[in-house]
Amino acid sequence: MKTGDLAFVKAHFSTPGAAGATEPSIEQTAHAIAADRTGPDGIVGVTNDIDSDG
Amino acid sequence: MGLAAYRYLAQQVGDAGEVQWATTEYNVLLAATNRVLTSTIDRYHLSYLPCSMVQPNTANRCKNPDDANWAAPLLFGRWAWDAQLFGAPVNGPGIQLINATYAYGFGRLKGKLPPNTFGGYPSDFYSTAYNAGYGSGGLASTRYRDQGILGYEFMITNSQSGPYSWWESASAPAPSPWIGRHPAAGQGSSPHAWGMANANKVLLDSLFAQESNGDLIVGRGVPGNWLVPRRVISVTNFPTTDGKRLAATISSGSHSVTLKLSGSHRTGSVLFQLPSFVNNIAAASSGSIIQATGTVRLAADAHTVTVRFRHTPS
Repeated sequence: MKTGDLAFVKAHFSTPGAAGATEPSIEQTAHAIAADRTGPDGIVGVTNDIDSDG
Repeated sequence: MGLAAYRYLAQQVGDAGEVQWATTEYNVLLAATNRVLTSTIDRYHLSYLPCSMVQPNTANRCKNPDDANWAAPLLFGRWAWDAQLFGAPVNGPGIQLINATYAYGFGRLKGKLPPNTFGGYPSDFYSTAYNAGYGSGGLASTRYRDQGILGYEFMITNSQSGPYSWWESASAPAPSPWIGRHPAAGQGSSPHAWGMANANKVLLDSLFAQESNGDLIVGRGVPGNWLVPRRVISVTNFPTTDGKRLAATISSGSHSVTLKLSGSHRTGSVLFQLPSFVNNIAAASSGSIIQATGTVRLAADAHTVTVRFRHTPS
């Protein structure tokens, strides 16, 4: 590992933070990418998260 | 890119099921992305990566040549460059059209703005805090590998609105009591942390980067005009694996360049890869030469190599 933070990653890989839904695990966050594939032909869907649609 | 990074993390924690899930999801999403992009490019006869995956640039704000969003596919997500570092498959229009997209965008700006600015955002269309970051895709290209550093040089010379501080979008320089050239106005924020992070990442990656397999890539984005006799390019304290640090210097002679590495714990090959090396290596004091990519591949324990040019870089 580049940073040597393997223990940190293991601790948070499948286990959410204490706040629950607002602190998802690494695994839950990654799986959200698949859930976000709501665009044409299975690409990631449009959002308006920063300045404009993208 | 997130799936490629997640796959790497799953490998590191030993979760074979999630490695497989991430591999499959990455491949499926890449295939879908390639299908949609190819369809848009074919339907509208485009020569470039559109800033929307489902529209030509003429159908949205990117029709304005000064709107730097034309270069969004070359920065945000940074897939073409970073996914390669993680050993993930990189194919399709997103990699094939990098050269063409830079050529298209800069071609539209010729005569409107100086070289090496991508434009800005309403209503300050001169440059942006992302100007270096927009060069990130160039590291995965064959003709624009030094674009990140060229964009950063433009920012330092033309668009600082405070010491090491840039607006998200900046107007053209105007007379001011301060030494140097500084924008008359700007919008977004200044300092702009995201732009600064993008700029520093592309600068460091242009000098020194590491793949997840341990291979080190040295000098991939160094402009030819940096290779001036008696000038030394140096990187110190570069974080490599397991908390270890490396340093490197690249020093130029009149017809050669010498790389020296110090530090320990290298886990892969060293790929000395200056853009000026492409089809231009006469000889190397050690390692193997790949002319097409301008690479001298050295063993993990190598400490120095001198590479002689066929033609002096410019």
